[in-house]
Amino acid sequence: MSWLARWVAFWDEREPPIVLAWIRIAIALVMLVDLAAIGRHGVATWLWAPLDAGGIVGWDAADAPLFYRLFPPAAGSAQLLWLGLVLSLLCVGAGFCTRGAALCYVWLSAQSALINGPADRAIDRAIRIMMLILVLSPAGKVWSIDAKLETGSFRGSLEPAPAWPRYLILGQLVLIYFGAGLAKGGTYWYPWGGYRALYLTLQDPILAAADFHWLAQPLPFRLTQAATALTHLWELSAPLVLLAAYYRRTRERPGWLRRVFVRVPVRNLYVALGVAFHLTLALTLRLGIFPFAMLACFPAFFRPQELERGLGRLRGWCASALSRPRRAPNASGGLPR
Amino acid sequence: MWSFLTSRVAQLRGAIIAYFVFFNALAALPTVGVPSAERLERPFEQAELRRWRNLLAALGIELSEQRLAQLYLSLAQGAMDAHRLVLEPIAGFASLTQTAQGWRLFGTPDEQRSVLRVSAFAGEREELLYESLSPEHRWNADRLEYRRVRAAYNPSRAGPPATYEGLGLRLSEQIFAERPDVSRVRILLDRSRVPLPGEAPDPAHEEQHVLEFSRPAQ
Repeated sequence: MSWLARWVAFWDEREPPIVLAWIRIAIALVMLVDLAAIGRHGVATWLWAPLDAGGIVGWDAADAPLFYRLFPPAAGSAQLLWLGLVLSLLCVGAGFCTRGAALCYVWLSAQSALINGPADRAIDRAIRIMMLILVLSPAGKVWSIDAKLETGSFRGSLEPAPAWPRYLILGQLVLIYFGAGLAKGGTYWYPWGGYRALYLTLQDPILAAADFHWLAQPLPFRLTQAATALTHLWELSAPLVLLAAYYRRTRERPGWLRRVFVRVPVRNLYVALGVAFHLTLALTLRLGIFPFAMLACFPAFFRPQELERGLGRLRGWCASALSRPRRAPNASGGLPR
Repeated sequence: MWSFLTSRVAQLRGAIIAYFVFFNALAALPTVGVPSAERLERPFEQAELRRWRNLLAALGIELSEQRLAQLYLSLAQGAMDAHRLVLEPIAGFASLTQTAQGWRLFGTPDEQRSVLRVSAFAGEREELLYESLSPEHRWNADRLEYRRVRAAYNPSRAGPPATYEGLGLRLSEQIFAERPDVSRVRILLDRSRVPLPGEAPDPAHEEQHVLEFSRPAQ
């Protein structure tokens, strides 16, 4: 088979869209939590209304974003933008008109970025990319209102559907981490800068979740140096996940590197380190939804069967933990036999 | 007929995916910063140049800092021009959807740190309402520390973003509304240097980007 035919065949592969549904629901939940924070803090007007209408950002009428060409430049429009984002995400999460809702979210989110650039963070861009992929995917075919309307069951049909959206989300994750690794141009990320990057980042009062001045002690500082090196290495090694996937698919072919990759669980190690990395970030820095939104995309690392198996195991553990008899003293005061 | 159509659809999908994967992968490759001789004059960039020069010298490549700066500027300009040219085919799409690749997550941390301070003045008496990371001065902290609001004042080496003044205005309005005794509000970023391990704390600090607001006349 030619390279071209293999490329076409690869993107034509099919699998049940379970992983995509997980990602759809997880992303919607995380972003809804973020929008709930905007509602709780009452900052939609600050963020997205023009300066004259109570916002914090101004622009010339000629450069007004499309949203403010369609809607009046007023605080109410900013609230409407927030409401639109919430409703579109609710629909995405519940799987109601999933593709249309995801597209609507992307448009509104892009408009919010055009209105207030600084408030649009890298994670918002990443989520727009993931949502655009979901627009074209069968993510709404299972565990959704769309599925209920189509098949009579929320679970929907688990018939194989195009797998390429999951491959693209996985590719995007690799691109984000690898790109971030390459973009670390500051010398403090390298041995010749003393691996001080994380130490310095944790000393930023605007970003740090607590006072980390004690990290200047010798042992904690060494640990931050090790964590700096490990973080950078972890980001730069993202493409190994793709190489591992390729080797797994072609395990029958020869080569010592392939044998190593088939034997060592490269992907699982990468994912485990990634989970630890993001949870540590969530505990030490005030990055908002960033760690959780990235983790929401992590199911893309797994095939549907693997995810189902993992969930089955988790259900088994939960069931056995709940049904385990309690070790209570018996009537004679002793432990039950 | 049906199988012919499905195979054509698969080919078309393969072509479209190849197009987007190729250009997005290129877009995610980092450039080497914004080429600006003025920026290279700043202390952090000077220190970075020194560290890179030392590394190159250790590898046997002797370059003066000036020569290294020139090389960097031409390389950065070339990389930026190439990046822009190569990404032309997806520039419109990326702009419409605001999905530009480019992931600089804490790319160049430095020793400078800033603290946001919000103070209210009743007559001449100053009351510190909010200070970043302070356990005592927590006025409006949930709002000010929410990620999108924090982005309105969190400074880069070039200073705070354009939204800083607008945020200051809104904060002052809120304080004047909540506290009838307050006649003046002061908002600033206090900049200091993070002591490196083994160094004594540096007491020097500089109040920057000071915004002053007086209660508007009734």
